[in-house]
Amino acid sequence: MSVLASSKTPQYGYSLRKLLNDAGIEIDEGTLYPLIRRLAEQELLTSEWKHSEGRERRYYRLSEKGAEVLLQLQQDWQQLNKSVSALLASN
Amino acid sequence: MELLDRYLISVQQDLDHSLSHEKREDIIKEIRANILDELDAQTQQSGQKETDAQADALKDVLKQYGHPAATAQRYAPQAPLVKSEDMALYKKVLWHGAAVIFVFALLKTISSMLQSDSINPIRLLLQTGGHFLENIGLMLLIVTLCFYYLGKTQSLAAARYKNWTLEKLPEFPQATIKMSDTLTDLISASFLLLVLWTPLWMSEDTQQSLVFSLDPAQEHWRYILTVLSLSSCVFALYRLSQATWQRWSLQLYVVENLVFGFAFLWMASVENFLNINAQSTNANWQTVIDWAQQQLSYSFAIIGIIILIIAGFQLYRLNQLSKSKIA
Repeated sequence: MSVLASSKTPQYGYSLRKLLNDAGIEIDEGTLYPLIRRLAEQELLTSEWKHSEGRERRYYRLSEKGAEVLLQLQQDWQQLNKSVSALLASN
Repeated sequence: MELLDRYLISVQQDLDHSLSHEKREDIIKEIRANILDELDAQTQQSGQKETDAQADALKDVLKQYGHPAATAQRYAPQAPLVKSEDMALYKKVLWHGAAVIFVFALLKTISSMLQSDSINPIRLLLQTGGHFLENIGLMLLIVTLCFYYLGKTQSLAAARYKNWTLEKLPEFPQATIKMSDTLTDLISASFLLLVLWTPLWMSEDTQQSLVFSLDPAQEHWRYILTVLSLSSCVFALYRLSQATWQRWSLQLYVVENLVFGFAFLWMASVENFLNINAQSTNANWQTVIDWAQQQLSYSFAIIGIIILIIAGFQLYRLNQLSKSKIA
């Protein structure tokens, strides 16, 4: 969701995996692709089939609901990160 | 690409059949697109000829995806028959259902043996086991289907926990209700009902060949004991669903045992409570019958005393639990 939020264009499965890999997050295709699909079923992502490079691909984009959830998750993540960092620093 | 088609057909066959045709097609279309993208990426990385590289890369990609059923499960996970949060309740229902079916199987066997000429312990075991196995599968199926359909809308355990309050905590958490005791009570009360109502299920010929019969003057005891046994069965079934004693349930158990105990003592004190059905012209025969009558009275008295001792023990337990009650 973070990658899709930062990307200005819609992304398909492999391109998302590549973006994540480039960001240092290695994720197995067998895990990522079904996960994207589930996010779309939960209406956190919108999707559409497009023809590009001689092949049909399903392109995903963050939905409005997804953007709201992402914002909440970001805040939670930052809070948790802050707390854990403080705990680790005290050690 | 024949290999890819074969793989995708296998995945499609393993997809949840309750999914719509369109959704299944869409999943397969997406898996195909993802695999082809992976394939392109791997072919570009290798220095092999395009066709050879594609064939090798496809094998690698498909191996990474794994068994078609695993891929199908990842893309469209199948709902479990019983939700994990309902599992404890499910196991409890199954366990208690099995216990009730065992009691039912035992009573069915005993009733059929009472009608036959021979009472054989091995036959009792085998027939009880047979009746048990006959019904346990059906019970398992019904309980699982109930959990599946009711659990579709909400978690059964969550619905059960929703109305929980602190006041519902057990008064005596240390006083667990032993399932073996409850089952013994259930079997005893059900057996008493069977014996009391032989006219309802036993053939006339078999009834006439019975050694004992209730004296016509004591017919009202059939109804008194029926009410007591039915109450005992209902209470035992309720206890099966409870983990620990509450004050009221322990008090009721004491009362139940006291009533049964005194009832048996009363029956022991009544002359000729049961008639012994024997006809003989032998003069000594009446002496034997009198002796047997006396032994029956003693048996009732012993049973009554044992039940009263159990009641006394439970009363003492109730007293001890009240003293040690957690503040």
